[in-house]
Amino acid sequence: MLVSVKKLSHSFGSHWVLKNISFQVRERECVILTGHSGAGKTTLLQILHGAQPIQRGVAEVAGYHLNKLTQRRLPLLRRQLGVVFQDFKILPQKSVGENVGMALEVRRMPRAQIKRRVNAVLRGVQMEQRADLKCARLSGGEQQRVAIARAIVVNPKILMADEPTGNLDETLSLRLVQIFKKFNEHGTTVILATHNKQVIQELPHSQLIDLSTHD
Amino acid sequence: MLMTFFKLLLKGVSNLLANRFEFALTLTGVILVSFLGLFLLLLAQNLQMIITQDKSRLQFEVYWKKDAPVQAIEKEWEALSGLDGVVEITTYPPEKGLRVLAESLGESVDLSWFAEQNNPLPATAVITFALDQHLSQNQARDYLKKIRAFPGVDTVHYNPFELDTAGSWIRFSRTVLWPLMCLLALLAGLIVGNTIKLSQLHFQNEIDVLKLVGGSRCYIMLPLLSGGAFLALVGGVLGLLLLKFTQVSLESLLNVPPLWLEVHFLSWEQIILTLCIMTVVAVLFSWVNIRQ
Repeated sequence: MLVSVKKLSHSFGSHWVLKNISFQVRERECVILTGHSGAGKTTLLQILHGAQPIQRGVAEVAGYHLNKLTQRRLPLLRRQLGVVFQDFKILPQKSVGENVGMALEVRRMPRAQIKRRVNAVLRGVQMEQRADLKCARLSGGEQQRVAIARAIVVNPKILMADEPTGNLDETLSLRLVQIFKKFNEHGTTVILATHNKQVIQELPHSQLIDLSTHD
Repeated sequence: MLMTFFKLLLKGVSNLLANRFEFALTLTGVILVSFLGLFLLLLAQNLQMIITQDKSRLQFEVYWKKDAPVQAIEKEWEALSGLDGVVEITTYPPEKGLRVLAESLGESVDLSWFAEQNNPLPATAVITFALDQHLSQNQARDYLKKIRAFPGVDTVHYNPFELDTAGSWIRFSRTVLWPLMCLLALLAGLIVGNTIKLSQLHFQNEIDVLKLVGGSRCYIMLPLLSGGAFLALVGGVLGLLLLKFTQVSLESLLNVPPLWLEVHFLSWEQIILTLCIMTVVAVLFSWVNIRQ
């Protein structure tokens, strides 16, 4: 199993966002985390990439036992993942190319190779022409595409995305879903957190985990 | 491995230079803070020098036996001037002593008839010793013993109050000036560190993103630490240059009649220590910043 979650619970103060969540994700699988606003989709993704500590339960991602994961080993887990954050986490003062290239730079990849891969990925999200533009000058939708490009440029074992179509129009949303689908077909495990019904319909073979129904 | 290490160090400097406006502002802050701290240190140090040079001294009035041969006395004066701790020796052969006495008494008193064979004054000398920082009564006693050991010496006088005054000044320097200097160094270090810490706040987003995309602690830390060290070092050097300029200007203003006040610059040891402390503090604060 690539991801294994058992009896996971998480609270913010006295409010329990996640309660006894259990699921497993096999390699090459596509999983959609859905549920109403505040159901804990974002929190669950944050736990899975080590941005939130585990309060109760057990979780394992890409061979890393999250309950025992030290700060020193956390980057090793994150290098297996590509994450698209809800708030993009894009650096506005850096260019599109630099933002996407960051994920490869931390892996100490040679500069020429970084440039090649960044250009290829930007072409995929239709941002190639804007590679040298500062991200501060991009629209919300464009920033989101940069965030997606940064997540997929590393060829991750698991691609996680938190509301990836949130700021995109219908055409771009569909195009994006196709990108995720393609990645999934090529062997990447995909975990999407979304409440967009269109996205769910476009990925009919996915494992659907509705966090609203968990108790 | 080593190549990557140096690349990351250089990345810190290039990151700083990429944000020129912020860099210039922070650098100005570091220069001014280091200059102010060092300027106060310079003042305290010069005050300390004045105290140790002028106040922590002890004078002995030495009278030679009346029948001691002049050549033997001159030899003893020479030997006395070579003693450890002697900073000044003023000698008075009998005829010079009489002349000085006549000058001090004024024209109303005629001492000329004492000249030649009748001069009642013995050969004398005023010897000034420097007292070290660990002042004790033994020090005065040791000097006294050394002077009395000379065969031609008849009597020796010193003012015990002078010893008390010197002791007070030395204690003042020890209990007030040195702690003050340390406090100033600490204060300057803290302000420089905080200035650098504040300047790194705009890197916070970048640190977060680097962590999220799998940047190792070393990859994230090294550029920031080297950037902080670079900023402190450049700011410290420029602050020192500004201080040198100020010291030269002050000296030209104060080292003239009637003041004759010398303004000494910091020693090489102090300069190196200052730069080291600033760099270490900057690195430390950068590290704390990243940890937080």
